[in-house]
Amino acid sequence: MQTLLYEVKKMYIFQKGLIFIVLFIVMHFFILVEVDKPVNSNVEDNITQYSFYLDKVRGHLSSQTEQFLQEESHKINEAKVEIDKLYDSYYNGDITESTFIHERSKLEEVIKNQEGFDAIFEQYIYVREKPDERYFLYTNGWNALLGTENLDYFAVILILLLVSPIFCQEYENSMDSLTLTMKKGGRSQAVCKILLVFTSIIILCIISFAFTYLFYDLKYGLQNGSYPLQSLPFFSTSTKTLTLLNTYLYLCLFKLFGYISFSVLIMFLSVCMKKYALTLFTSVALIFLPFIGLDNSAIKYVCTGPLGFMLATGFFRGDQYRTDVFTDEIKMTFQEISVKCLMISFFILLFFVIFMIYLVIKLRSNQWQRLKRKNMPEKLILSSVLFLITIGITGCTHQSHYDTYNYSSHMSFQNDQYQFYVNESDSDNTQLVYKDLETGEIHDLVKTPMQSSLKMERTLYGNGRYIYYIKYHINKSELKDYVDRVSIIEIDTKNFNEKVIFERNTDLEKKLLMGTIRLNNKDAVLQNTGSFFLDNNNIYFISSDVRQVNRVTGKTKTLDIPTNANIAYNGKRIYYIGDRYQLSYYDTEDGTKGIVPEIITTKFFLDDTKVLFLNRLDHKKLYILNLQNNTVKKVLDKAVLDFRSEGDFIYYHDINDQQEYKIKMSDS
Amino acid sequence: MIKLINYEMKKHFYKRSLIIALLIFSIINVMKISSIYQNNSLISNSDSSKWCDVYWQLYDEYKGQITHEKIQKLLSVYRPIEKQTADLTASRRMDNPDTYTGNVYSDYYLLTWYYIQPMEYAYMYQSTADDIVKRALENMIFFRDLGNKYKLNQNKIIAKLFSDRSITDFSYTEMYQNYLKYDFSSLLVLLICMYGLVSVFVVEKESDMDMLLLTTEAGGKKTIVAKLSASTLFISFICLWFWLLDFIAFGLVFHSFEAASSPIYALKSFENASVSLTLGQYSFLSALIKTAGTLVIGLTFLLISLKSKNALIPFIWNIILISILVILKETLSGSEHILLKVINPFILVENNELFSKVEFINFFGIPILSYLAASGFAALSGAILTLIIHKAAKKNVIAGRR
Repeated sequence: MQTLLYEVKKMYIFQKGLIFIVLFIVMHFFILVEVDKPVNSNVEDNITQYSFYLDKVRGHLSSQTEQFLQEESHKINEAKVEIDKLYDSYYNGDITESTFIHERSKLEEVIKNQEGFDAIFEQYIYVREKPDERYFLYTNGWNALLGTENLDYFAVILILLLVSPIFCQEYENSMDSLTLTMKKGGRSQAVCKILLVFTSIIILCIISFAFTYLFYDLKYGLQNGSYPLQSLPFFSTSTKTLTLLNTYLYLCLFKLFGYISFSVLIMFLSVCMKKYALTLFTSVALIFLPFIGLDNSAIKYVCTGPLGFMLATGFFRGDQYRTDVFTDEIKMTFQEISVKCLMISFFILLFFVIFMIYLVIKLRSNQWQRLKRKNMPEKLILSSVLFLITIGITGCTHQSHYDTYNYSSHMSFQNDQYQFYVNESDSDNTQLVYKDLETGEIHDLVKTPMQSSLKMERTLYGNGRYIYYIKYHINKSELKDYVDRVSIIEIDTKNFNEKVIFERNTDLEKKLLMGTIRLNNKDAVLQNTGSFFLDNNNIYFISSDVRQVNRVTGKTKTLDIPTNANIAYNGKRIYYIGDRYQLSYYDTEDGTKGIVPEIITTKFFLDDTKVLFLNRLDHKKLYILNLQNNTVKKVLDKAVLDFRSEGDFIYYHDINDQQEYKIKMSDS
Repeated sequence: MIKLINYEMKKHFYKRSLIIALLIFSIINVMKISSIYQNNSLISNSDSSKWCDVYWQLYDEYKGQITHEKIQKLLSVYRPIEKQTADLTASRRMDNPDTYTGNVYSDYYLLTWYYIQPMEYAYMYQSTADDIVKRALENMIFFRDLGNKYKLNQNKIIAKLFSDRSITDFSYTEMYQNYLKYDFSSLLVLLICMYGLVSVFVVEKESDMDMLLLTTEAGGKKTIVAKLSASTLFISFICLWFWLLDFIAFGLVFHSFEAASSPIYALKSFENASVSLTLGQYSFLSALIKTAGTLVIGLTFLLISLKSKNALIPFIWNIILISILVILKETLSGSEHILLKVINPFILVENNELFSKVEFINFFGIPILSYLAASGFAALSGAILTLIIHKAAKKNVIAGRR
């Protein structure tokens, strides 16, 4: 017993085991919090709407649920059409306000949870393929817990740090032969050491597994653990009959077995090699080489000893196929590991583990420990230099005046010197060009001579002398080209120097460390953005919603603003057509929302001092709101279909003859 | 001194374990290359389809200089197949005697991916390059008028780089395509180096010989120089071994060393290559740059282990260091924050990105091509690391007092 206590003291105090464990837990927590992104972010964004429907269909797919979903789908589609009609009749004066409000609230009740319904319907399409083994449930939590195939690098490093000194340290100090001469040395001490390692690993694993479970339970929620494993698309083709909770328990057991066999391997190697360098090198090579070298096939699990069990997820997966885009043939990418095969590899590994333990005890040894010298300062400097490299990508701030952005002019911009616009005359090859207002010459805006691997989005954004565009980089290293990166480039029109102010990978799955770590890449959504504008702190991407992306941290936030292809920004407030066609705004500085009173419009245009808008209360006639004194004035006593403002002129389409007319602002 | 280096070499690197590791890693490397061929090449002979035979049979007809006749001949074969498959109504039978592979769709894909697209790319390349030169020349005038000297020089370099570029020959480039982006061997090299180098400064401390060594005339500074030289030789040897093995294995596995004399931009991924070399020359240059990168990382390993008592902590730090370098390189891959990219020595080891694009670093107003900048950074950091190791190691007290 006393020997065991000494060993514990040696491992945790003298060899700094405790410090490493604390570091491991901190890193583990940090990685979980920072890196984890929901597999289905759509559900997370609309969680209340999603839960509303999930509560109605949760569990097995019955004929009632099926009928309910079909009916609901029909109802929502109808309501969407009705609501448009309702607005039209209200502003045309066909119905009274009270009827309008009454009817509208009824319809809005129906479409209130539409985003949630879309997510449920997607799930329904998956479930109905095999309704017996696929249930409706909230999947993000279980997907995060079970559906990843990453090796826990930190756990591997921690085990190396804890286990390798157990025997290596005494060989290094040549204490091994000395301890053999002692009464309590020898076999009993070797057994003691092995037991200590086992208990430590078991405790660490239990803590780590429970912690991970708790984390995901708190972050997402892990309800319905009794549902079949196949409810998660990741395991869709699995033939094993397991519940989700059971799978996690088995997964933990396999991983525990994997880590224990890894630690036995390290002890065995250290007793055989007697040297730190060789022990570490061999253990690392045995784990990392197959992990990085083997593709994501079943071999990775079956023939790799401890590694397969340390990963473990693959034991539960089913056959997987993909269609080869180049030959149009179907190829198998993963073959299910049968229970028999699993048992065989388990027992083979178990046999080796027992054999190695036997050898370790046979070659038993003892060790004497002294404090290691502290070499922290040098290493700290080294590592901090590396971390410093990553810091420091920030955009500069230039301007005090802000040129107003309007979505309607997202394809052009004009400053004192140049007029920039998207040239669409060649539909295959959109070009961003500019006209020198002084000479009238037209040039390409993007000056890079190598343009065959680039594609520009059909949008521009400008502010003063700075003009911005979205650039896609095309990767040509595969047989088929694909876009792998999107960036926003700032051009200073004074000297036409380009600067990258934002860039993102667009691969759906971010792969790191030679493809061994796979992360969800939520940012991929930023591809195919309709337009964008920006200020000193944020970039705003406009598609069906507005995504605010911090220029420094890259944090993305979806603003709950309907875009309707009519949105404007003056550097402080984002203006949009909100509820009941009211002109509304979102203040980007304090995040508050508000409405511009008594302006009901279907289209507006904002500039520094005024808002031009089609007044819905006056048969879509063109009005102007002066922002300085808040006065509203009629510009044109004609119903207008559409208008745009360019410089001092307003171009509009008459609703009756559909012809375009031009008026000068000052005349009005 | 040479004797001393020799002793150090023997002490640290002529180890049975290292030689065994080298052999095992070489076998793993070859196996990995072979699996790449099976997975990536559509004409690998393991595939049940007849693509391999058909490809090489057609290759004899179309290889070599691209002529008008060859293009016409290829199109006369391709157009009817394209027409047949266009509306997806053609028969899907697998034993059609009028086709090359037995299936008309299979024929279509084979011809498209392996003949039409590469040949079209090669044929069109000259005009692409001319376009680039034209744009660069226009830019030169524009930026001269604007007084932007940096941009002017940038375009000057581009115009010079892309002038007279054309691809005259059609050849089988799949081997080079895969060879040049192969990075698994770099990992093997780094692992072996990690093992070999971690004990260079530690081994004497483990046996408490470090104090004794200082008392001899050849100890202290001389030993450190010898250790550094021996380590450099060791790293260079390991690199040479693996890069040669890679090249030979790729050639043998892909059954072709052809295209060595084709220009690098014959590969589509090197369309905008920043060097105008042949594939053969580029392979050599790339191997050289890889070795330089490995040397810098190797020196960092040495520095990390310099003050350690045993191999455990430096070994773990080395793993963390490599992981950080690799992750940094990967997250910045394709990025236009070029400075951040090129200061990472790992970019030399996996150097595709330096050569496949024309990117510049602004060095006090002078545009420097990214591969030159990366090499410069590596040389600088190599020198600094050597200096630090030299200064920080224990001095020979006796020699110092004399």
